Amino acid sequence: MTAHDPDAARMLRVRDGDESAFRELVERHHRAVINTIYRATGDAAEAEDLAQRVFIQIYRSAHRYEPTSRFTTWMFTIVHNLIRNEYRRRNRHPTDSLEALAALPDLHTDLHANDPAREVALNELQQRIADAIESLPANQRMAVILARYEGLSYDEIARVLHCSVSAVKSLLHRARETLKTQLHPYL
Amino acid sequence: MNRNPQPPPDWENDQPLWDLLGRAREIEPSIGFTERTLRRLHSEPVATPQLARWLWRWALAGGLAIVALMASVGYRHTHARQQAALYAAVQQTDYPEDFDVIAALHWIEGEHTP
Repeated sequence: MTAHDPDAARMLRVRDGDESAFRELVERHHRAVINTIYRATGDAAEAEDLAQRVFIQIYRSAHRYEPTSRFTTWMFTIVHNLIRNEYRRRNRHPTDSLEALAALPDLHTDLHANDPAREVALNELQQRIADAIESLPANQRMAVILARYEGLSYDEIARVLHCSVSAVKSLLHRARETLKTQLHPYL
Repeated sequence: MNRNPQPPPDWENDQPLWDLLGRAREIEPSIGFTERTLRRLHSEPVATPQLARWLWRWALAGGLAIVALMASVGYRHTHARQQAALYAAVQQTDYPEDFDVIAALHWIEGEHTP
């Protein structure tokens, strides 16, 4: 696996105590991790904090790492577990939820739009997409995010979500139906 | 990582949805994320493993349960001992036998009065 996956080789170096390899992994994957968390939680303010926790956990779990699958599959398993814990924590302490902050304008958002009307329309569209994804049950949401934005195969998604490939297909089928209904005006 | 992956085969009828989802907002990581992560890695103490935390909680709960049980057993034991002592004291008290009462009936009924 390491021969085909340079990140797995980096992770083995991290396991041997090479911190520069860990730095390379953070540099290569932090955008994907931050955006996966943001899309799953709808919480831009907390996405970076949770992403840091993901990478710290990766570093501290390095001694247990075995390159049996792609590094990203292992990484997204950690992301998924952390997000699941975060949902549980929020359910126990609803006042801790920062979802309200997610509704605020995001200073980091790259809109690539100079025309104010276009910017407003794009913002609205992006909000509707985010709302539609957020309305999905947790496992459907994660399956959609990993398939659509991270390009994971169904087999890899099944490993991340600890379920079968046919279960992944079912999750994605139901998610598609819901998303088509919710985003119908834009299709 | 492929930022704009191709749809899997079973999405082929939903290409417009796939494309629409691709327009979702993406947040830009803040500058210095890697440095901050490394600093946090070295400054944060290693968290107690989940198993150890659970063991600690169960040990605490078990300890409290044992203390409560011992208090309950101690109370019952003391109470039983007091009851036994009281019973023994009652047994030792010199009460008149029935025939003494029968013999003294005339006195009780007022025959002793002049």
